Amino acid sequence: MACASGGKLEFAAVSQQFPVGLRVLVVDDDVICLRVLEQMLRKCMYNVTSCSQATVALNLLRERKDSFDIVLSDVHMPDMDGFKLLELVGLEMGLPVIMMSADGRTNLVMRGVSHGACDYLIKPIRDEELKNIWQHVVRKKQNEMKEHDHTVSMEDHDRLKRPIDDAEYASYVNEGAEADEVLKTQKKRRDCKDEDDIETENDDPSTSKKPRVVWSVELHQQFVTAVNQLGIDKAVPKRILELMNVPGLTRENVASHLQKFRLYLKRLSGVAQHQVGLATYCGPVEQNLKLASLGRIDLQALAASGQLPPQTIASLHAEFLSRPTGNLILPGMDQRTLLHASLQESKCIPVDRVAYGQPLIKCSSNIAKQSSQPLMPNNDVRPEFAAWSSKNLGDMIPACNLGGTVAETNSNMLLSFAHHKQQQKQSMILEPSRSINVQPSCLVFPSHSSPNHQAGNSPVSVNQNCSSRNSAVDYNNPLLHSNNSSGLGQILESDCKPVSMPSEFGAAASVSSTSSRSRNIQESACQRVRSSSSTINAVLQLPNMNFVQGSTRSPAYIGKGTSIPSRFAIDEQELQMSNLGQMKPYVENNGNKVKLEPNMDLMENVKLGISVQQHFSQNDLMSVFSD
Amino acid sequence: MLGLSLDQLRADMNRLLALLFHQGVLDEQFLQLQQLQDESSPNFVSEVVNIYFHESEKLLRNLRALLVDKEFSDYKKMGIHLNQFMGSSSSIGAQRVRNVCIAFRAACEQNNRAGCLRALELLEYEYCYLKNKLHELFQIEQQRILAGAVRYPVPQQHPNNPQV
Repeated sequence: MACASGGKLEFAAVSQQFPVGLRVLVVDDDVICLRVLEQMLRKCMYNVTSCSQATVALNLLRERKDSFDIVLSDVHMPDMDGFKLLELVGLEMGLPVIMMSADGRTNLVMRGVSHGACDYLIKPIRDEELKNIWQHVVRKKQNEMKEHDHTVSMEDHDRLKRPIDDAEYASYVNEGAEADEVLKTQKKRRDCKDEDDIETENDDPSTSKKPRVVWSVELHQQFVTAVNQLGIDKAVPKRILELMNVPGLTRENVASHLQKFRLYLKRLSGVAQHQVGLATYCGPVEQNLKLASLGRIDLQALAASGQLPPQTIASLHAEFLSRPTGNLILPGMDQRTLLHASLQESKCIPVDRVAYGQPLIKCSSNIAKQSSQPLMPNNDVRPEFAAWSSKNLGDMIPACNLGGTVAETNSNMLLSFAHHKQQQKQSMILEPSRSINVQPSCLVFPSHSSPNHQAGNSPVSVNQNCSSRNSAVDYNNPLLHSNNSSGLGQILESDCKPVSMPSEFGAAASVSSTSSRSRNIQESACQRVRSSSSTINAVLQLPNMNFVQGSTRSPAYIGKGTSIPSRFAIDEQELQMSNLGQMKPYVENNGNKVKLEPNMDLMENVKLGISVQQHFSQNDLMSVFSD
Repeated sequence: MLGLSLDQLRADMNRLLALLFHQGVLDEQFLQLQQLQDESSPNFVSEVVNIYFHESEKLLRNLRALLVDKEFSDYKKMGIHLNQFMGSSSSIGAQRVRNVCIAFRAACEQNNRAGCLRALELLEYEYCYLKNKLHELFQIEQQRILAGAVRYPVPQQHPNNPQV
């Protein structure tokens, strides 16, 4: 809360000039639209650069990466698909991109979202819509900030956060480019802490002073090929560099690109985050292991035995490796707090299991069905949603609307985050010490929340919005109430601070807040839907698909679920069935935690999982939801 | 006399605009366009509309060529053209043209050749109507500007200006 209101105050203080001079690049092959937009943006007092060719725009961006704050791009362009541009811009520059088209059909908008667009405007674009685009710039910056914050330990987190906020806003207002620098320096400073843990994270602060390498599509392709060749565990900058064998390219260049690529992946993907959350349930099983070995060896063993999907391993690696040494004990704490939480939650455990176990099954079966239907339209996401919403949560679509500006955000994501947040609050209520672990994941929700949240409303109100408009949240309520019905509001109020800190898709959150198995399952369930829905898009659009396997283990970039994880989609598709099986053990693993029966082995758990899920009919499920 | 005609021209213009709005030829986006015109770009509306005419005629030619020339028309390409047409039409507030584009695109998606041809004819008709009306509008505006421009120098240039 302090952070949000602080931000608001600063905005209020600078609002006289802040959006003025925002550097906007408009790309549209339609000269009429281009001219009109240009004029409109000028009227908004923005600094406009217009470009009628996507390739020219891309070159411009590459040459002067730091001279734009936001990009508006048309979807249909003859020289380059708008989505391709969107992807490259997101990948290389990390700039927020707004897509525009006269074609507002859902599948197209969904494609935009899945490629990481921060907004999708339907032509004719009105000046009211443009007056607000600066918010994406701010949101993006906040996201980046938080995302690096979460790798910092709690103490650092608290100590660094405010100064960074202040510095960022202040300097952003004054000189946008300098703000970038501030941010980068801070980012690097923090990244340096990770160097001990992970070689690929090595991003020397001096890098920024060296001449910038332009990552052309060809060069990037080489890079991807190299990573693919190396495989998940060996894709370190040095080896990549050797394989690429490009003169003039330094290890730092590669490291930095690797990092950017992961950042992009993280932005694109909520999958990794969920996967991490999922994987952490395996963590506790072998809780006494040292983290490093958990990351390096045992997870691989698990993967080898088919118990973990590769991305999970990768993201888990990433998660563990990305944690500063000071935080290495966290999983242990999580474990403890998990127990706390679980024990206190024990009243509603059956409810949990129904509510979250069942959707998974439904969802997965839907997907299985879908993937076996070759006639399913390629880019049309709606069938999946329809299946999901009708079978599981009638409220899925309202949940989507809740997103407001985040309409891009997948409804499933939103739902899971809504849930997630509630879970977090719950955890905070249960165990004060948990808030340390929990905090990063609290941040997950706001970035997906409605615009009024962004405007600085308290998370409580967002939450109320959720429950009033979206009964998907309702099924959390039994949990909340059963835990702490009295004084809940107050506690929420008092816990607002971490919760309301906007925009963090914290991957660490997933690791640190192993609080609820149900959350993981829920998210994973959502994930299945999402990933399958974007699978085809991924096939069509993403040349770097395979790279995912090699790169998902980035520490900082995993699980920043801003949008549909199309890059993970292929693997998801392949793994759906096995994941379906694996999900159950996880469900029951957690059940074990609650029941303190660690001697159960995975296979038993699988069976148990099935039987439990079979106990509940669809009606039971729905009634739980509508409770 | 010219003072009178200035008011008259203004009234004519408003009447024409009202008619076009009433007929649904234009929508409020056109007003937005007018509002965007300011000192920094005094001819913004006519500039944009002229680009629109130029581009639209190109698109209409392409569409007709795609529909007429080939036995099997390239519906996908037509769809792309129509999308662009839709985007530009909606950007200047040409509502009826845009609506026909939507219908045209729907016919395209169904590979409905007859529907496409009908839609193309309608589109050409609507486009011509829009173009005529907008030309009319610009003419009136031009006259109005001229009339207005003549009025200002009146005090100084009275002897040189027999019209006044």
